[in-house]
Amino acid sequence: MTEIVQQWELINPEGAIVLPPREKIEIKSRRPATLEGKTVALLWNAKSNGDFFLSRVGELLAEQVKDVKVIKLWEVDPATKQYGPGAFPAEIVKKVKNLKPAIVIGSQGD
Amino acid sequence: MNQSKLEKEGIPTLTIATTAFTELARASMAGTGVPDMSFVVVEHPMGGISKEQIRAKADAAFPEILKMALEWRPQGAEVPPSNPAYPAERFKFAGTIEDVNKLTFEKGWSLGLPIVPPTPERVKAMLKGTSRSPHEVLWVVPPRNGALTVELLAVHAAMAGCKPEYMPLLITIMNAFREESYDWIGTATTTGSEAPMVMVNGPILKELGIAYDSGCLAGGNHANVSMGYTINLIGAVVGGSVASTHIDRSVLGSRANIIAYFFGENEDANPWEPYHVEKGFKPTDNVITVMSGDFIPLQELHCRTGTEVLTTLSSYLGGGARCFGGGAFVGPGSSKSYFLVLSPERAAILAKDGWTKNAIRKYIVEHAKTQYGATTPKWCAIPKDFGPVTPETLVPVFGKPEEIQIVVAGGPGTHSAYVRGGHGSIVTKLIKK
Repeated sequence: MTEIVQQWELINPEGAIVLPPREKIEIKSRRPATLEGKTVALLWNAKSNGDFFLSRVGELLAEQVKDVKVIKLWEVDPATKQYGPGAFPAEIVKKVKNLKPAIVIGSQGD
Repeated sequence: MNQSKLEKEGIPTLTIATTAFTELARASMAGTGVPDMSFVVVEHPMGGISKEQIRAKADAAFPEILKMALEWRPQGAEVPPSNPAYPAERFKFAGTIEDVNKLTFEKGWSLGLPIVPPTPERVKAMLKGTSRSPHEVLWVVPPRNGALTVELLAVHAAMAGCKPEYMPLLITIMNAFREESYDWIGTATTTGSEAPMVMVNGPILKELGIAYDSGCLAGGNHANVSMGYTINLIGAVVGGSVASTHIDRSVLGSRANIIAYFFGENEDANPWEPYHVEKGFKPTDNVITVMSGDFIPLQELHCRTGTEVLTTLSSYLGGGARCFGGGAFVGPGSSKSYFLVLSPERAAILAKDGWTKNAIRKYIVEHAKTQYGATTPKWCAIPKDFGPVTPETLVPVFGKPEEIQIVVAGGPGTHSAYVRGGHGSIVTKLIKK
């Protein structure tokens, strides 16, 4: 059976992409010039082995960067060990901010 | 993504992502309003390998981590202007119906099943099912952040073969999915096999012919199947969560990622009050309840008393939660939502023996247990007052009776099911026509 070729008018089902307004973080979030004498916070999201990976990064920082202070956030406050919609509420962000880290190194995924 | 919240507070971050999760991490970032973040990509996997392998992976990545920590600068690229959300783009195409389906599949506009071509006429007819304005944005569907207007919902409903009278129900479902507590992005991108579940209560069940009795999760019912298909079309096409683009990272996925779990409560066979009445709605209200989860069959054939039923089900439930890492004491990021979907016959036995829903919940909390050694220790945070544990210590799977939702669905027979919640929470909403 030969199917009929038709002229179709169709609607694209993708929908326009609506991204939230981009925040101007370029200036606020400038990188430190050095980590010497600075605080580096390590952020684990509870996924398997992320803590071991980050701990090793912490060891290497301590070995190779003079006077760096490494903080494992999950040991300081287990509530930082979260992912999902309710994770990392404002009070947790504030706690991390109060530690004055030069950078936070986090692990993502499995 | 937690790091984006820190970036917004002016705290520089660096994210370690594995090769399998880089696209998802970047898509998640884009949806938070952060223009750019630094990533160091390491070979997948991170989990399930030895400490020595993890150490070697960290050692190999460390020079890049150090370099990126100091030298990375945000690109801050401008977002290309997007087309308006309404009206959706129209285009001409010449071909057979088969060609239309080939086109939609190749463009990522279908899930492999045939679709009904979304012509303006069909969409206009679908929009007659609602008084809502077609330009209204119902939901910006993550992680792609596609704008789901009422018109676009009608497009997908038409593609899935829905009837116009389904529109109010579909609009309510979209309103439920967009709730932050549902965590659509978590359920749509997880490595797990969880899928959207919709349960319907109220007179609308019979008005629309929604299946709630024998085989209510199977095929053969137009309302359940077409609305279940609509949900996942929207998630994939508007939300962009598909495996082929490495955004949906489900290891196996589920057939319910094609046709979502969609069923009605069998209120006629429910010896207790229906679920929506238990939650404070009137019996005459039409209500939907959504959750992300996996249906796990609870097969039993020979129980004669309520206690026998619950003993058997508790044994199943103790095992069923093991792989999820500890149940009652499970850690953050994990759902504590569960549905026990009782077959009418099992509900009748329990009710005849005097079991109330609350008594059933309490029994299950006390009896559904698993060995501590079978849990994921880092996620199974034993309370201090629990006492010492060994790998053989039995720990409860459920923390509180109220975590267990009890509903009745299906037809004659003994088999029940357990829906293990994945990401997010249960959301219940009144359907407004």
